[in-house]
Amino acid sequence: MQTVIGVPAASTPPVPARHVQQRLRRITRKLPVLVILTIAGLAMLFPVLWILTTAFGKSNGGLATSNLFPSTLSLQNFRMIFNEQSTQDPVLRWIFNSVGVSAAAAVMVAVIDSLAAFALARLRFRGSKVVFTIVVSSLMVPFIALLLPLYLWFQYLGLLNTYGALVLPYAANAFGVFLLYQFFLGIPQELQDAAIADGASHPQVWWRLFVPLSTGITATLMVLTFMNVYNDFFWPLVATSSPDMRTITVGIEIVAIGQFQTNYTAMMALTVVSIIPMVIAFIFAQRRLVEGIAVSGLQG
Amino acid sequence: MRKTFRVAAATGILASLGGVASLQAASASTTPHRQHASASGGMKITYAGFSSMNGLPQIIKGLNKKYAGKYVFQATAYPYANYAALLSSAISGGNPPDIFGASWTPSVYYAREGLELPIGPFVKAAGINTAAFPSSLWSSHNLVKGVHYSIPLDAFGTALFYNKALFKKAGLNPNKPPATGAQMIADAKAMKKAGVKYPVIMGVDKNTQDFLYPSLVYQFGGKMGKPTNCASLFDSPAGTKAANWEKSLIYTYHVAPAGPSPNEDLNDFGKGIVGMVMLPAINQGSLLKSLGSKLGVAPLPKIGINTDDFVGQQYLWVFKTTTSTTPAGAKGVAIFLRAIYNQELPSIAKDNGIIPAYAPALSAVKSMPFFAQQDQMVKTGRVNPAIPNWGTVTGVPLYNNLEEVLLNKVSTSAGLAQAKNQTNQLTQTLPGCTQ
Amino acid sequence: MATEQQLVVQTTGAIAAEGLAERKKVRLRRHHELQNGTAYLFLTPYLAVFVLFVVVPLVFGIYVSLHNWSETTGNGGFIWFRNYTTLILGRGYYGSEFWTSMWNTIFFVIISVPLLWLIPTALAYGVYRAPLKPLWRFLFFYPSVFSATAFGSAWSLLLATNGGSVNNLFGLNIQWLTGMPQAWISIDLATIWATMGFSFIIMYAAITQVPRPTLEAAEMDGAGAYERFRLIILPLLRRASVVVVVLNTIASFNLFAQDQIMTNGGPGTATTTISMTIYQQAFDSFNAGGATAAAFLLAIVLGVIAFFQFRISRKAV
Repeated sequence: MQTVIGVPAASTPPVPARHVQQRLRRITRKLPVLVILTIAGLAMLFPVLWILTTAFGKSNGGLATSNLFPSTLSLQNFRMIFNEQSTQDPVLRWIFNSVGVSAAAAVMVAVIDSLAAFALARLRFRGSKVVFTIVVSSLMVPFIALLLPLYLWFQYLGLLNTYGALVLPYAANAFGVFLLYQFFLGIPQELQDAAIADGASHPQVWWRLFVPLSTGITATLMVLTFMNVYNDFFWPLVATSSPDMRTITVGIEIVAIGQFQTNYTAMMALTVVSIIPMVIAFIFAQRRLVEGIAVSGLQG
Repeated sequence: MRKTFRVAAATGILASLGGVASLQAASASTTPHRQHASASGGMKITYAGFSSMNGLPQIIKGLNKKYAGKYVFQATAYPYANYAALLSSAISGGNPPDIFGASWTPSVYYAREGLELPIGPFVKAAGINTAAFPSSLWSSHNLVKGVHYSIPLDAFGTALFYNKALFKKAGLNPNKPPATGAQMIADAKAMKKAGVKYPVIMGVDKNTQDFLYPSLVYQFGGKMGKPTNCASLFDSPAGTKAANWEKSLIYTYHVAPAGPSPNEDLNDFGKGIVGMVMLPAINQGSLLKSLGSKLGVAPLPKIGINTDDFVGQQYLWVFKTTTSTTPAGAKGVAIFLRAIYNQELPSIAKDNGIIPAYAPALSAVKSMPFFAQQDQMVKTGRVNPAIPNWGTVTGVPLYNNLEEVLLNKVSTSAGLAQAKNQTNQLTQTLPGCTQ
Repeated sequence: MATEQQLVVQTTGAIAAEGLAERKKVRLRRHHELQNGTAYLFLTPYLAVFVLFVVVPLVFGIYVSLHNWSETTGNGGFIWFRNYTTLILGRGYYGSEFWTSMWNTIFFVIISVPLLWLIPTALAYGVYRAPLKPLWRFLFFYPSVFSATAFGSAWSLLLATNGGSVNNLFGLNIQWLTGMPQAWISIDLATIWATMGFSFIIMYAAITQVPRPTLEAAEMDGAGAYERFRLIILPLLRRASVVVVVLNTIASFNLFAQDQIMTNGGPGTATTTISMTIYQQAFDSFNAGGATAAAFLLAIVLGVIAFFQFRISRKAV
């Protein structure tokens, strides 16, 4: 970093002191950014503080009586949700279902969308514009329009209340195609040309060149898909009927949202338990998420 | 290559058209792909309802053990907020549960659409004595097309919850809750004087107004709607008086804060910072847990000209399904109903802190806190008129407009007039509601 | 097929005649010609699931929208476009609700989409320039893990008028959820809090791709942080911005869960969104025909807006 521009030569102090001053200046220059980030970061933490306080507080009959900071800490709420687990609300099974379904959907989406995005972004073929327009247009269709038709279709296929029903509708992920398409457009044509000239087939170009170059964005897509599917509500709600096929988001509603009252303490305890898989996924994927992108990606 | 594309496109179009055709078949057909037999070889009897029935899994387990090989009973919890979506899809797919439990007006809708079976034969087969239902929950006003289609399971009135500690702080007798509207305002003023920040919270949300507003309309001698043509009647003088009284607590007597957010009445009362709230009595269980001995429960004060209150309810009904219409299936349904009413209702009521709607089960909950008050509220109270989905879907315009009235955004008369128009527009599409 | 064979003959001849360099040239030439077969092979998995799980329900949905269709009583007959005209002309309860909620939604989109681009982009640039990157990345992304039910409930209680933590902490008495325009501000705030992570990660990934030498050169020329951002980084974020803006537009048009939990569409119907109306019409009033028609009208509105977003983004190079 060139930070010495504009510093008069005459006032240059001895070498060690200059280093200190340089570092100090570097820090003071970063100070505004750090202050803004800290304020924003605290704002981001604010609601989660409430969620944790409610989850780790007393159960209070499920009412939201907690304030921002806990007066007493207890595991009452967690004990309660896992006690109920043995009889009617299999919480761990719900989480297992959610993790399995979301992971399966994430892998499927990554493979299917990467293949499709490669064809759309890097191959010339008849109808490419039509296919791309259809793919992007399908993003515009609100899911609510498809909910009932999908339900009837899956009933016809005999797939309701199965894992198939929970995974398959997410496979056609236009968002992923759109994201990877934008990314693949940014990969220099010369790289592709060089591989082709060296005799690589298209599947080889995709697998040896585009897949490695897009690990970062594909990981991002997978994490986002995982989270989307994990947090989806309406489809798993209508697609499943037996308690052991529910996903955790539906389970939380069943346990926590009553006709006349919301059981906030159970909801927040369940939420805290339910985000653990995603937090783990995020921590492991975090480096990949943004730094795996080797060549020019979404820029331009 | 172009050929490949054409073939692919044609296959796609064919597949989608084929899909449509078959979907139509699936939804139009009254005999969908449904398995009568399960792995253990019994006939499947399905129950679905709101998720609030705590004792149900044990009942199911017991029944499945007792009738192993003959019947397989299955219960599904529908989250309340989305029960309509689940039930709609299930009916649309020709696959509703055999028995359904929810508040009573939805049963009016399904009965008028011809999707339910009259409950009489089932009640008889199950050995349930209908004379043991309180008249507030089982009488002529519950008839649809001249027959009963649903039976009451449990009920709870609209209660006045008060904080005994804050009553003491204001020098009031904590064992003498207000019995009239005027007394309630006087007590609230006394609390305000003693430094209680929120003597009353007048919830503007739908959950509270679902109970409080009809209660007050009945108290002022009015009616909510007309069952024969589904016309709304709440824009009467009684309805205006009811809304104005609610409003006066906020803007005339200044004992309730303006613009509380949804569900704040219940949560803030649970925090112990509120003197009085008027809520469905079913909230008693959680309030007891958060407030303990500070909690006081009383029937709704006499605010209008009568003592009256709105009663929340759970009813059971039987859908016309491929199971329930067969003799064996009907028998299975009756077995389930008998188990609920004659064996398990006391424990369900106890677990859920509500009043069972069946006299033989009452004795089991007599030791419940505030039993006498609760019982009185149910017996003197009223359920919704026999209008399809009254208070659920058709209640939406009323509560939206009432919210604006209570936020002082529109006048009472304008709000109620708009609510009436919108409700009538909405009910016009419902069965048996030609105006 | 004939042209294909000719091409093969030509290429085999060419390979025999020329050396390696020529072979490469031919491969490239072939590469730059149409590759219908390969392309559709790559597209097959996507198109298969697309047809099965999007096209089939979609075609069925259009079919339903042209009928007097109810979930409970089934198909009540073909009625042409009456479901659409009822909504467009604002007839009946759902007709007027359609327009009220559509304008509400458009208003929300107009205020939320720019913020959902601006805030994550600014934060991404800040994080790019700051130490402790993993910490910031975690902080700005983690709210994405919460379901709308969870964060909606949390925000609704934090923003409670009486006894809510926000009003308590700052000694305010603001009707966050029952006043206007605060109700929209609150929903927007919660939405930004919860969904920003996605945009943040994409913008951050894009910023890290900006070539460092270019930035350093600009710094040497005395360009400040803001100038560097505006003149060098921003133009290079165009493609990522298109992704973020288009997807946030779609997401904002589909606003549902947090709104329902926080304000339940209130005060009155001031924050009722189009998705909420469609849901009510479909599942509470059993009017599947009208609801699907409303959903397709929403899709058309979205399509038009997205089309202009693409056009503008192409022009703004």
